Amino acid sequence: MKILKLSILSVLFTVSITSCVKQEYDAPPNANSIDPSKVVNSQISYLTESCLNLESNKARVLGDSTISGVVIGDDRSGNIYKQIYVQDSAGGGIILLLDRTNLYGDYPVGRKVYVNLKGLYLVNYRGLPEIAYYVDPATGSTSGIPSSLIGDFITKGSYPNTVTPKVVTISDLFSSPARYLNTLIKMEDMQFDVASSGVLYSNPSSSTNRTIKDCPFTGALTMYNSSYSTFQSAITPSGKGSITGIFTTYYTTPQFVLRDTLDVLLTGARTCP
Amino acid sequence: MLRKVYVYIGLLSFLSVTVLGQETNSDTVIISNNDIPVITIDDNVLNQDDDVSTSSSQNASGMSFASDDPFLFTAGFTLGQYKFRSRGVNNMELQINGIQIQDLERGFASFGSLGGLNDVMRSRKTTYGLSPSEYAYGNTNGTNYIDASAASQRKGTNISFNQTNRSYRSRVMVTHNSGIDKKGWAYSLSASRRWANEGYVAGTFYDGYSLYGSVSKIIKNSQFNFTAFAAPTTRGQAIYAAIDEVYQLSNDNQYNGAWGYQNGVKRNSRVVKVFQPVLIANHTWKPSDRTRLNTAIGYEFGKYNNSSIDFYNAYNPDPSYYRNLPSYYLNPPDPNPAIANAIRSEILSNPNLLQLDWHGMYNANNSNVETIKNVNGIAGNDVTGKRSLYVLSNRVDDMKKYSFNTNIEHEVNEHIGLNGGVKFVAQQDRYYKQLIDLMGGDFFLNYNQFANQQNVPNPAFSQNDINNPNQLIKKDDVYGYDYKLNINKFDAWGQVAFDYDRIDFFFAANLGYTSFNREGFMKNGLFPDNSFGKSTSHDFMTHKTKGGFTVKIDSRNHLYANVDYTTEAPAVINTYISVRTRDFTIKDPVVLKAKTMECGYVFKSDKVFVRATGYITDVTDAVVNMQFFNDDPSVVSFVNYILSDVSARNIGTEFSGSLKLDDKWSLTGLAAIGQTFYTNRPSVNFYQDNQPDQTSVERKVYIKNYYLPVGPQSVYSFAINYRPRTFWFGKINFNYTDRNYVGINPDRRTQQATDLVSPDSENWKEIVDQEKLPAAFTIDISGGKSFRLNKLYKKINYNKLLVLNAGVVNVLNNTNIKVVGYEQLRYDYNNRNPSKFPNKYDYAFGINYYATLSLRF
Repeated sequence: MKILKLSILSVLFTVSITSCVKQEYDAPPNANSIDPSKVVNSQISYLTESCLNLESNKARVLGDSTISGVVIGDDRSGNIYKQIYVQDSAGGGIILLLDRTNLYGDYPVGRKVYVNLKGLYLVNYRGLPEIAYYVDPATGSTSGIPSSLIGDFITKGSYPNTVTPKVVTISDLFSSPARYLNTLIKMEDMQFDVASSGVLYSNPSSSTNRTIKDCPFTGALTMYNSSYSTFQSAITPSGKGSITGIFTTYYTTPQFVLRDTLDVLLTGARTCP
Repeated sequence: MLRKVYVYIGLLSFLSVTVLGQETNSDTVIISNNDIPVITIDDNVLNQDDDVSTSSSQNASGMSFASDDPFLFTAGFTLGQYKFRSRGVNNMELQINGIQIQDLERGFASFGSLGGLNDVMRSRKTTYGLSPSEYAYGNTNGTNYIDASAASQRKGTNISFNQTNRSYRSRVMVTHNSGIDKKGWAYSLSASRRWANEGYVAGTFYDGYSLYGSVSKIIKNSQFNFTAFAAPTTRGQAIYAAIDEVYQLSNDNQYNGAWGYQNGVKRNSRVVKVFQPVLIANHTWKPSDRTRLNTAIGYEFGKYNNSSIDFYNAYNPDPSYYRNLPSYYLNPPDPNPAIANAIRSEILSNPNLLQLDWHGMYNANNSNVETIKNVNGIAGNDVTGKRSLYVLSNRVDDMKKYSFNTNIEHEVNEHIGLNGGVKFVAQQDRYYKQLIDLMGGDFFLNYNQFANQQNVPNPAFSQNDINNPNQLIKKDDVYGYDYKLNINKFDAWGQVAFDYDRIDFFFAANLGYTSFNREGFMKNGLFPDNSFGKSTSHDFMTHKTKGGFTVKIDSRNHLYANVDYTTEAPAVINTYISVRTRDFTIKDPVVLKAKTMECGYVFKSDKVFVRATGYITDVTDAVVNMQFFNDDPSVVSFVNYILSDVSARNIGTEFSGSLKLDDKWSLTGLAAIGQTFYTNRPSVNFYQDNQPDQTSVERKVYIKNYYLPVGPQSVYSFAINYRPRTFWFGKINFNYTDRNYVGINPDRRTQQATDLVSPDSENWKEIVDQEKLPAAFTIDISGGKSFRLNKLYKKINYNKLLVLNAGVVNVLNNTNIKVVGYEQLRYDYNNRNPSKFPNKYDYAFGINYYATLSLRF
């Protein structure tokens, strides 16, 4: 009888021990050093060129080709919303419309991305080249790539990568805007216009245009600030210095989009009125 | 954007209704839109495969007729899995060795600590409804008293092995009871393990141990018992409910979005880890045959951890988040069926899109390098590192509960019995959030991302703890909220019962006192003056009175009637507007009132048992506090949505019967038809969670006559039993459940939600009509056989028994039974389109089985 009891207990013991439920998990490998190295067979500047030949708010469907670039603008500060700016090594820049918020988690500034363009739309959105999932031919309204479909078109590459901004002057921008559209630029010797300095970056309830100028003065540029940005309530500086951001356009009006106020280094003394 | 709304409907102990649970807060948030069930029923269901062992006879009952009444067993065991609650409530008082097991804050008993201890929890005395109990005044549904002392366990050893395919797959259980020796000692030990690498639902797992030990010593007319038990358990959960679109896309009515693959292994984000041991010392003194005095002290302590993904300014990782689904592109403002179809085929071809993307979250954390300035409030203390966007954290309840109970029973003479007692329970729960996995990042921050920063920015607002600003949170650190609830409850009761040949009658009364306060350990930036330190105490006097009689027409025919008037202190969670962040209370916390009446007829003969009962409970002055993310463009915040002065009625009839056809065959059956519904139009106040301004918006909700979601309100069950004398039995059950109504979002029945919608239009009906879930028909089969081992080997003692029990539940494999449904509290106020946030459902398991083999010697 003892033997029977002992053998039953030892069987139970063995069963219990061997039935361990696994709950520890290895961290996945850090994917940032892995580059999928897809074949890139197009260039963003071709898209820009082809897009600017379209009428405003017209679009065309893209064929089977792949571009690659580095994210130069994301939505971390909220000034950019449901889109990212990508610039390739040849210096072309484009907007990707993605129907998702908090994109900077997956596509932060510095992330290399591969974009398979097949079936996407290239649209001349009020003068600005953009890539959309769909463009309504009647109204020209654009739809970003739906959240669940982003993985079909965009492949994440390495991180971080640095894109050095092009150092430009206001006259460079005005004389050949197409060359700089959607790319990262840096301007020296800039300051806010008198009316735009020492005020909120944006009014709380509506997005606001501020004006920046070079000094000595050759021209003024509109800075578009979203009321949803985290720096909406920050005060624009009155000094002079360099400023970095993305060059865009609204129809024919050149515009400047800030990524973050960390790019605004107007720390010198103001020298122009 | 949010998430998880555990709505706690708190007609608590009366219309139990704990519909959707409570959780959430204004700070960072918890994954998924899915709500979590509140414990009562589900742990019962969990325990079902435990309770299977033999026949219903283990549910011994204190009611004179209850042992013949199939009602309680069938209602709890067979119909419980379809969320049936008798009288819509499920609020029996549960005592073990004199200690009340109910949680003071939530009002229901968590059976978690009893799991896997079936062998030693069998000795029960149950009273149902308002009938008098010798152990307690009891709740409106009655009293369940378990004697778990060593002395009351049947001598012997029991080893059992169980296989099933529900929340766990296997169980081994060993119990040894010494019986009472000549010196008056008895001891009892029980241990069990339950486990599953994957349960019935994909991605769930179970890893539970149960331990129990008890010692009894009998000295003359005293019995001393010390009993300790615990069930340390870790289990991976399923999401509670989802919208039908997700079930269809996943082609699985048990869809579970709580897990995803990590390095090729399924990882569940919602893991419950619990260890809350109970220690009880009690003394029973019987100075004479007519008097019994039981005194017990109890201590229960330990943590309940519930994990989920927390995220800060990041895309919602819930794979079934509404913006990821096809339907998002079918709703206004820009419906585009082509896009919806493209998403649908993408998800169908890649089912992993409906599971968590752990690698994506790790990658986001690895790529998010930030510099945090003035860390811990120290100027110039800047730290650069990978700030996690997604983390895994536990919501922790660290509980301590001290109980004292003394209970006397005295028979004055053969006609008059007296009962009474004094009960005191002090419970302290410390609640906080604790980070358990940074998921590749270096730190997280103790920030509140929902604090309203528009218009009047105030950097303090986003601090969860301004005593520790810009605090970096690492593994095991506490963040978000951290507070303690102190609850004290005192009860004194007395009862006198008269027993005569033709009539029994009784009166009972209970005086109670409840007091509670909140103690905060973080100074919330939005509520600096009301979050840190001890709040004032809230005190409530309560009283209960009941009485009733039974007329014994003859030995077979009894008629009875009982009435009860009860007041109950409001639940803590319904008294504080948002207990996690501050000590503000609702305007006038008052006690809830409930009037109950029941009457019935019982017929009992050798062959026939019949009970027919009618009951009615009217509840007034109840409070319901719901917390959810409000999409109303004028709000856009987490809100605390509080209905006060809520009235409801619970009325119905119960019928149960059994008929012995011969010495082998018998029939049993029950029917329960009830109506539980709101009876007034309460006012609602809602308070935003993201700004210090605490003025509330008040409006009227038109919810009169809407049903409360208390499970199926019409149930029928019929069973054929076969029990020859040859040590085996077989049983087949036919069950039908109907009139299970979804939980409503009261705010859809307001002028604001229906503004500009023309009455009687389709849109109007969609907004205000309450959905009834489809009726369901199911069949269960069970059977068992016991063998005397000495038939196999003559040498073995006669009393050694091998018992096999097995059952198949939902034999027809009906996988389309919706057992829970509720309207989401998010609502599209812009377009008044109720299908933007459609109803969520939970489905019953399809065919499932259990088989237990036990050896008794």
